[in-house]
Amino acid sequence: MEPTRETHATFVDLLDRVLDKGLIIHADVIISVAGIPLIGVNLKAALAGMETMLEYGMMEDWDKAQRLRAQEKVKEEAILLKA
Amino acid sequence: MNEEQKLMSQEVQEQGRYLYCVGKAPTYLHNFGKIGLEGNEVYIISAGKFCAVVHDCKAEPYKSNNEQKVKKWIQTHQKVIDIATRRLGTVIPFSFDVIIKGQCPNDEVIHWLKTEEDNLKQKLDTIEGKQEFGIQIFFDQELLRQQIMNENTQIQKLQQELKKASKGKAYFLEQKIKTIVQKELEAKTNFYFKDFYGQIRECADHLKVEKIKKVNTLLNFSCLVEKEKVKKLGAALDRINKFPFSVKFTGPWPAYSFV
Repeated sequence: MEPTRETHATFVDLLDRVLDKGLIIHADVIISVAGIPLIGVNLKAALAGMETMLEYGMMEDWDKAQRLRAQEKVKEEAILLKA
Repeated sequence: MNEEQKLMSQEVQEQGRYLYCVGKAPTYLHNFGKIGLEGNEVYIISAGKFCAVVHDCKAEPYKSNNEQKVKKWIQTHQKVIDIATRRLGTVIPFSFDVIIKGQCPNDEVIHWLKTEEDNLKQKLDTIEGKQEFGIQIFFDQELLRQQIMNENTQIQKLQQELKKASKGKAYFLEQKIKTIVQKELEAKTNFYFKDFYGQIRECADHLKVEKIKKVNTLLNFSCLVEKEKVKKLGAALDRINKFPFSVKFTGPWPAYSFV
């Protein structure tokens, strides 16, 4: 298997590295991105393309909603059983 | 000049040096041309054993809401590091948008390079002659669940019971089946994770376990690998890349995750 890095799919991997990793400097003379969201999550997701929105935590909201609905369903069924 | 004027002139005088990476100080002076962000001239500032690859900029970060613009900046950042690697050998990459500022920013860069020399040497020694690769292994959870449901004998028995069960009993049987499936899924996941971790670890000099961001991801690693060992890693991934798993193998990257 050969590694790739020039495709649309691998741009996400580049983003992960270039925005969140690399050498960190702690000094007054530095203006640095580290810890400061100069690029917001939404822009990050937009850069990576729609299909990878899920990678950047947008899945969490959907998942939460699904789980909430599942919990409601369980409660409903429990009530039905008692009846 | 009054206080305000003095302050303003100070701000105007502060400049920045955008940092791409640090490498070993070369014997020949290197000027890379206008390959930097926004077509800026990229060049080298050397001090002692090391040098910084930079371009001149304002003493403020590059910031924009324009996706295309930011995408281009990021790609340019990476491209400059690639070119620097070809000329200087293994380099220590910076994150996007790290800028040293000051009234004499060149002096600041030199001062920083000298102060950090030991730290930089340590880091470069770790990554010298190696490249970073990203490995993600995906698996279809739903498919695995189905497989478990079809193969587990305990579940088969419960499903038989389910057919004749009352509504109340049915609910509890379904819950029991779900619990068994979940347990099995976790056991399988752990097993495969350990198995693949072992195989990949053998082929890498350093391995970092990364956060999982996408659904259906079994593992997400960054690996630091000597150039001669990359083929071995590729072969191991070929063996892993079989149903129900799929492998994403990216790189080579500068050693962002190991500095």
